[in-house]
Amino acid sequence: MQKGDWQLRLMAYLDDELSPSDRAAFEEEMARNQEIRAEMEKLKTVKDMTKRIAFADLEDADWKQYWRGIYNRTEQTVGWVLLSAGAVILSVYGLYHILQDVWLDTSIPFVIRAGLFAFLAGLAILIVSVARHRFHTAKNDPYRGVTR
Amino acid sequence: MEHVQEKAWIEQTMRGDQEAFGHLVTAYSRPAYFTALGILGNRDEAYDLSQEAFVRAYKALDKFDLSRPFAPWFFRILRNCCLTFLSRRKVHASLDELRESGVEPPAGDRFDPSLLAERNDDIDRVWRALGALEDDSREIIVLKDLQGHRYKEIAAILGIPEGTVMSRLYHARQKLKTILLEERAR
Repeated sequence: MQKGDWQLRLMAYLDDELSPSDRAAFEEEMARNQEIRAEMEKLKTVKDMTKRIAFADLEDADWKQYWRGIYNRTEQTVGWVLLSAGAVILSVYGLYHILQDVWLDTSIPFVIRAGLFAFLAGLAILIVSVARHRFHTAKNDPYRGVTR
Repeated sequence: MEHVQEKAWIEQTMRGDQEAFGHLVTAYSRPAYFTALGILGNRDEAYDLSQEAFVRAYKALDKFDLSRPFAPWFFRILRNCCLTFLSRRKVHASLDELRESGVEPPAGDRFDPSLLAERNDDIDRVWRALGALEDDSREIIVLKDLQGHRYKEIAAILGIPEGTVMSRLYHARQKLKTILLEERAR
């Protein structure tokens, strides 16, 4: 048996993941091979030690708050989505009416109308650009979360 | 847990029943918290990130394949949350090293033996040695020895073949053995 092969079988043996026939075959191999036996003893000691680690449980009050915390976060996510969607709809509606009422009103001087159009177009470009930049940064910035 | 019951809760959640999702959270909150604790070694971070994993699972539930069990899918999300957090923490740590104003105090209870239910010198030593392992080595030992997952489940959580699980576990235990021996020699 190659070393790489028995190393994997040794893990499966230690973790009780071998079928009964494979287990018997491996035990035969182990009986013949001193190197496998020595390695098994060492790794079994390590496994026995890690198996003894058990975490202290949290307080009951923490577990009671656990679901509440998740519920609040999911609720806030829904709230933000609805708020954002509403803001976009209202902004588009408002812009449409401003443009219709002012841009199409020939009684208002052209310079004022052009100025308003440029102002709103610039504002829209800036909002989209900043939002895109923030979104990109939030996803890719390796330094996010770093306290400077 | 029965797959049929889980599936029913997921379907109810997808129809807007948040209480059904609460049942899933109750069923998996402890394994999620303890898995995160094993990877992160910090109580507050494990509490926060295991909750975050549930929120992400909730948001992504429409992408979940109902013919499959919930646990491997959920633990994959939890694992990603923890590993992303760890990679950011490393950036934070390396920036700290650049600071000229001396060493910062250690963060919270990271791999402090006070997190453990039962303690003695041997257990404390193993827990500290686990904390000294690389993230992927520690993760596989946590999934196997502390959480008791079978190879098949670990393979599904990590998205790797069972042979790779065995190989990683072998090398992780070797490293742990080396760290423990080195510590004993000191």
